[in-house]
Amino acid sequence: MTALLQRPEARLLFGSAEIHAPDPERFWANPQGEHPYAFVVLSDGFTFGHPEPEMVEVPSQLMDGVIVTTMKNGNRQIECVVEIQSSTAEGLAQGEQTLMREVNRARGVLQRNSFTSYPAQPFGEPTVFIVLEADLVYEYEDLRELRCRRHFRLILTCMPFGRSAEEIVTPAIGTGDPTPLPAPVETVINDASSTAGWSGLDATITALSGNRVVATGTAGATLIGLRYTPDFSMSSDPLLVVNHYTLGITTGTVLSVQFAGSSVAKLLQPIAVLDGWSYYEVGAGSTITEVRIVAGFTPQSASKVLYTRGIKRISRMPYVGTDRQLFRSLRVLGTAPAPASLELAHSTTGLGPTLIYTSVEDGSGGQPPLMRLRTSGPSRVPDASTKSGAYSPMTAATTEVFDIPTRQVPEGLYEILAAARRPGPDGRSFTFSASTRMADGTDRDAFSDWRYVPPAEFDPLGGWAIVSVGQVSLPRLVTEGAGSVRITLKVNANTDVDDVWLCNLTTGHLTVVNAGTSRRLWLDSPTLDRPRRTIWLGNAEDRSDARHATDDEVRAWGSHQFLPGAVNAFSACDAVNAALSLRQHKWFMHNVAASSGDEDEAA
Amino acid sequence: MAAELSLKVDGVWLDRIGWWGGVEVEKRWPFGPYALSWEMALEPGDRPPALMPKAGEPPPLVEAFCGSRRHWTGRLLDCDWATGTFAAEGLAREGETALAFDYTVTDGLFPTLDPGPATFFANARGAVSWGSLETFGPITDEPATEPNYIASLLDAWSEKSGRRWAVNPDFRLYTGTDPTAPHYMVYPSVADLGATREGKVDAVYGRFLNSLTLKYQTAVAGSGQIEEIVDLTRFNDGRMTPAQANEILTAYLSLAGNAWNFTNGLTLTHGMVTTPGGSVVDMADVAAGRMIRVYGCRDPRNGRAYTDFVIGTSIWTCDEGVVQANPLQMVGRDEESMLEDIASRVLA
Repeated sequence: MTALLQRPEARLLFGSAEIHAPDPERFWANPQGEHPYAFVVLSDGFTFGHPEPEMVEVPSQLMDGVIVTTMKNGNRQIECVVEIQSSTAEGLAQGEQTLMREVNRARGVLQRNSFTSYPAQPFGEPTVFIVLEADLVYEYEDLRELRCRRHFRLILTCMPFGRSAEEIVTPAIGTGDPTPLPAPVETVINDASSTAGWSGLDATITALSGNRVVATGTAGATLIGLRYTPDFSMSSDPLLVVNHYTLGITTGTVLSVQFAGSSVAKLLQPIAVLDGWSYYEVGAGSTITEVRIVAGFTPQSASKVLYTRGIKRISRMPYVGTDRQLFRSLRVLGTAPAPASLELAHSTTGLGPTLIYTSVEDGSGGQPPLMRLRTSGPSRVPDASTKSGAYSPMTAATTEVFDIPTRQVPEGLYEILAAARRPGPDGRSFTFSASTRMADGTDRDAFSDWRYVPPAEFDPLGGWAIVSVGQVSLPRLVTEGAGSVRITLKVNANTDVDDVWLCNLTTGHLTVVNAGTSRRLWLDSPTLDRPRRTIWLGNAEDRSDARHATDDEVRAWGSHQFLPGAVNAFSACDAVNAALSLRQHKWFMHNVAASSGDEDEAA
Repeated sequence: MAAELSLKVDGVWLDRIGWWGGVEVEKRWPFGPYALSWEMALEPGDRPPALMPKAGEPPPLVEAFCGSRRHWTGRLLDCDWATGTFAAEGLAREGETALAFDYTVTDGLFPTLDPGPATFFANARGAVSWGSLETFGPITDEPATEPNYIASLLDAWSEKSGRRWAVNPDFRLYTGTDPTAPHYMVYPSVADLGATREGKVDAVYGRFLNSLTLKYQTAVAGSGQIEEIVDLTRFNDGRMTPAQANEILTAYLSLAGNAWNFTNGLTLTHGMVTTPGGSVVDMADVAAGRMIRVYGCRDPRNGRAYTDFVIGTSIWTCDEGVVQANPLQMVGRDEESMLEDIASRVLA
C-alpha cells in the first residue's frame, strides 16, 4: 500500500484535519512537535465518487431509442484509507481522536463538515465538497500496530458537486445602480451603405438605398449567406448587434463569428431581438475577423434574398421604455447548477411592486415586455413615471393588440401580466385572446379566456399594480420562422395599462413581490442551511436589516434556477436602474477552475 | 418541464413552514377544483398554526398558485400528522354543506329554488366563499317548501338547463355547456379507450305533480331500449307544469348522453399533448372541462378514426409530471371509480 504522491501543493483536508500533508518528513523530523502523529492518505482505494444522474424517460414517437433527461444528481461518496503514523501508541490514539472529532462534526441533521482537495500542481484552486455524513472504519492489522501505524477507512457522503472556497458576486451584464447606469453607447462597425467589406456566400451582393446590403441567391444552392470580413475589435463592449432579415425564406437565419486566433467559427444565439436588430453576447476585448450570416433552405430560387442593415457593438442591453424595467443577462459561473442569491437593489428608491422573471438563455431572443410590439390600441399617454414611458387609457371600447414573432415564443404555458391602474375601487374583468397570425395576415387557432381581477389584487391602491390577466399555452399554432403570436387584450371598464408582460412558466420562473419601500430584494435558492427558497426585503447592503417577505407581499414565487452559462433576467420595479447581481459559490462537477470559463467561450 | 405550483394555506406560503412536495391536483367538470393533496416533512409534534383548524372559523383556505395566478382553491379537509399528508377539497364542495335560502327583511330566510340568491346569501352568511357571475332563475315557478343544499340545487338547475356548473379558483361560480371543439391533441398510439353500454340512456321518464291540474302525471323524453326514471320530486316536491317536466327530462338526457360510455381514461406526460396547432402543452394546462382529440384511436362508440372526449376528471401528479385525464362519460372499471360509483348510488 503506497501513499498518495507527496508534493508540496497536494493537500487533503477533512474539516480542519490535514489528512494528507505535503511533507510527512516534517513530522518525523520533530515527532514531539505540535501533534504526536501524522496522517497520510493511501493511493489504494481512494475515490472521489461520482454523483449519479437520476434520469427519466421522455415519451416520444421515436421508432427507436428513448429520449432521456437528467432530473437531478444523486450524492457523491468519497472514500479513502487514512494511515496514522506515530512513534507511540498514544500518538496513534490521538490521531484517531482527531479523525473522529471531524466525523462527529458531520453527524446529525444540521451538521456539516467539508472535504477540501488541493490539486497536486501549482496554480490551481482548492475544491470543497460538503460532507453530509461520515463514517470511520478501523482496518486492524497486528503487524501494522507493531510498526505503530493504523489504517482507517473514511467514508464521506457528500453533496454532488464541488465548490470554490470563496463566494463571488457577479453583477448582471448591463447592471446599474449604485453606479449610475450610463445610456447604452452604440458604435457602428458597418452601416451597410455599400458592399465594401461584405461578400456573398452562394449569392451575389448589391447595396440598396436606405443602407441595406442584399444577397440574392444563386440557382441550385441550398443556402444563402453574407460575410463581413474586415477585422474589428469589440473594445470594451460586450454585445454585438447585427441586423438581418430575409424574404422568401422561412427556415430562419443563423449567425456565426470568427474570433482572432481561433480556428473554428462560433455559432451565436441572440439574447434579444429589438426593432429587427439581434443582440449577441461575445464578450468585451475580443477581436472578430469574420461575421457570417447564413440562411439555409431548399430548393433554391432567385426570389430568396437576405438583407442586412449593418453591424454595431453596444455597451449594454438597451432597455424598453424607462429604466424601471430592464432585461439583462446573468453569467452563472462553474459547471454545475449553483444555489445562488439574486439581488435587485437601488440605493435611494423603494422597489415597489416588483416582477422578476428568469429563464435559461435559449436563443429565442424573446423578452417579456409587449408594448414595444403593439400593433394597435388607444393613443398612448406619455408618462415618465411609468415603466414603459407611457400608458394606454383603456376603456370598455378599446383593444390592445400585440404581435410577437413566433420564434420569440418558445412552446410553453404563458402568463400574461399587466402593470395596471384603475380610477375606482372596483375590480376589473380582463378578456384576452391568443392566435397565430400567418404571414398572409390571417389569424389561426384563436383561443380566448377572461379573468376577473378582484380589487385586492390592485395593490397598492390607486397606484400601478402588477396584475395577472390570464394564462394560455403558446404558440397556438407552430410555424417555421414566419408568422407571429397575436395577443389582444380588453377590459370591462376604464383602466390605465402601462406595460403588458408575457412570461413562459414552463421554461422560466416568475416572482412577483410588492417590495414597498424596501430598496433591496433577495431571492435565495434553497441551500443546505435553509433547504427552502426564501425572499428577503431590506435596505442594508449587508442584509443586517433584512426580513422575509410577508405572505401578502408575495404574489408569485418561482424556484429560480441558476444553471451554468447565461441566464436571462427581466426585472420591473418602481426604481430606475435597479442593479441586479448574483451571489454564488462557483460549483463544479469535479474540480474547481479559477477562471470563470468566459474566456474559453470568447476565445 | 412543467410550470411549478406554490402552495398557500390559511394565507401562509408553505415554503415558510417547511419542506413540502408530492402535490396531486384534481379538477373536475362540472365542479372545477375538486381535490388536492400534498406531503410535508414536519418534526414530530410540530403543529404549524396555519394547518390547524381554528374555532369559529371556516377550515383553512388552500390555494395553489401557478405563476401569480390561482390554479386551484379549496379548503383543508384531512391532516394526517403521522405521515405528513394533507388533503383539501375544492371550493365547489362548500356547496354540499350550504343551504339554499333567500332573504327578505319581512320574511327573513326562506327556502329558494333559484341558485342566484341562494349563493348570494350563503356567501353573506359565510357558508360558501364564492359569488356568482350569472343570473340563474328558479327551477320551477312554484315556491320551495324545503331548503335544499346549494350543490344539489345547482345539479338540479344543470339538469334543467343542460349547462354544467363550476367554481373557478378565483371564487366565482360560473356555468357552461360542454365544449364541442378539441382544445388538445394527443398523439397517436398513446392508449386505447374501451367502451361500455353501461350508463347509456335512451329514454327518461319522470313522475310529477301537474301544478295546473294537481294530478300526478308521467313525462318522457327520448325513446329506445334503455329506460331510466328521473326523480322529479327533488324539484319542489314534483310540483311543476308539464312543459317544465319535459324541459328537465330533455336536459337530463342531453347531459347523460345517449352514447356508449368509456371505461378508461388516458395517462398523459409532457410532450404527448399539443394544441390543435401542434404546440406542446404544459401539463399544468391540461384540465377538466376541455375537449381532447386522440388521433389513431378509433372511437370505441362509433368507429370514427379519432376519438373526441371532454375531460371529466383531470388528476395532475406534479412531481411525476403525469396527468390522468378521464372522460366525462366514463364508467370506471378500476376499484376507486367503482367505489365512488356505488357510493353515489347509495347517496342518491
